[in-house]
Amino acid sequence: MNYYQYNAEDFAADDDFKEWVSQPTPRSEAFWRGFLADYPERYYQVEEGRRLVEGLRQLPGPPVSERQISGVWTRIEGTLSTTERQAPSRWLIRRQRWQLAASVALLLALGWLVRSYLPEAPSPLAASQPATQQQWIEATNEADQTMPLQLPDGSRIDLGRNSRLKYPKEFTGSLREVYLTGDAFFDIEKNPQKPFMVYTNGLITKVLGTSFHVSAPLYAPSVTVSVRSGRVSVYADKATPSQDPEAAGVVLTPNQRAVFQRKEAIITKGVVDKPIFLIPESEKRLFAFEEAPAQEVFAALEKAYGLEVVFDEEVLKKCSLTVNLSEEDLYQKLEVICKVLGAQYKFIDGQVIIYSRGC
Amino acid sequence: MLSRSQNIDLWNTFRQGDRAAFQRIYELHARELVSYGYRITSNVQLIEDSLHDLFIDLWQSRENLSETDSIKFYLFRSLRNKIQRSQQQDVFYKAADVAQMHHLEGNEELIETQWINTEGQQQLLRQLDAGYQQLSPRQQQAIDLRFRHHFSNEEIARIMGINYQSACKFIYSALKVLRENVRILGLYLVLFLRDFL
Repeated sequence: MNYYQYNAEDFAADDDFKEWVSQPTPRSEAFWRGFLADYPERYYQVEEGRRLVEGLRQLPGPPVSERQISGVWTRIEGTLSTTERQAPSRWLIRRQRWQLAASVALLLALGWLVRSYLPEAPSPLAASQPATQQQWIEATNEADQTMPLQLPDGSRIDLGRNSRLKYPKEFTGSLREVYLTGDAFFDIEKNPQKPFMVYTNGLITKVLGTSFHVSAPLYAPSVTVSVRSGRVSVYADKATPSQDPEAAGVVLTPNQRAVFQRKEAIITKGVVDKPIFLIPESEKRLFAFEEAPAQEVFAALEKAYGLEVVFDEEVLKKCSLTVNLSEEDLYQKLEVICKVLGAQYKFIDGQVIIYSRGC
Repeated sequence: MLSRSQNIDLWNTFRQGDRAAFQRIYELHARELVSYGYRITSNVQLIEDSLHDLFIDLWQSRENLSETDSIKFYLFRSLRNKIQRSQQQDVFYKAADVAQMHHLEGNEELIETQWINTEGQQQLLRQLDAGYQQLSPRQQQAIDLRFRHHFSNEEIARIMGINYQSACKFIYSALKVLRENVRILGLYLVLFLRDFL
């Protein structure tokens, strides 16, 4: 190496030199110290080269934020969890489509033959036909209004703006599975044999037959599931479940909602923004009370909104109230009741907790 | 930084389908990749989309990937290819330059700001930065790959998709400009020499 002829930029452009400056080893240290001892007149060039290497490494780079990095990762996970579920169908579409079609045709032909020879016997071949080529429909709503959809099982869905729903042309198999990005209201046809599953951004919502709303904007850090009727099971969609993931989830009843924080994979239970009346309109007038014990008022609330009201019966034993709350919503009702009772309320874990010192 | 053998282990674990290893690879390299992306385009959306696609491809083709002892090299080259391909094909990316908007959002914590603290060095860095700003985008890219991301000239050539001689030329001509900014002044000389002797 003719290092003794090198100037600063030659040094900085040299891989061995750069290696020595950024990660010196005893060997490189010895070599370059030796070089400088032999050619002291090259000191400036070496020093300037060193400054270039060190300085250029430390120049302030373009701004990269943590949020950006974790945001892209969330997207990657989202994409993977969606595509992996569809992996079988992709695999079919891509490669062995023809082979598969051929073997399906063969199976069908065989089944038909068996059938025609043994007209009465149920054909095991025909019965165990695999759920072949699942055809998917993707509905995208780019309009300003919600988009009504009807699924093959009769379930109705209102797809929100800028939202996308992917569902099979037919619900074969033991589950009814759909994929949602964005917002949608689901009114699911009851079928206990075939649970209905909504996959969104790492969260699974599982129901047998019920109505609920899912909000899962593509890049949002959280997913919200709000229940209107029936029971809904909500749990995180883990890639490698060590235990039953459903056991780690929550069960929601009407007027409850679950918020799923994607990053931490935490699900918290709460009360929906606008709790609705679960009993017929005609019973609304039952919310006029005269000298009614507190206990009776809370029982009426529980019944009307399906939310558990937790209070200390002992403390509230002597409390009674006279109010007419037929027109107010749940929040207003609670405000009024608590004002009268000198109490406070909180929503914890999807329940209404009443704090009172008694009357 | 991981050692060579740790890198190989990590890569092999990932190729066997280990999701944690996959995430680790992302965490180790994502920042650098985004930072490098800015040298190719100022379109943040394009950089992020390419990074996303790159890792999706990586996971989906993990079984077909060969052994490598430089994950980083592989990732840098793939990212550059992705960004370039999108730039050539997609009018959308060409049209929108979201970078400026994004910078204005500001106030986010920045990762890559490890300034050294002594006054002399600060001064040196400022001068160097001034020189760096005068370089052409391709020169900046090569300089970054070499000094910030520690690639060899050979690797830089392959990442940038140019031949070895051109890569060396880019780097060399850039260094020539930059050298003027790190000139050792007379006073410094004396001090350094005294240290040295």
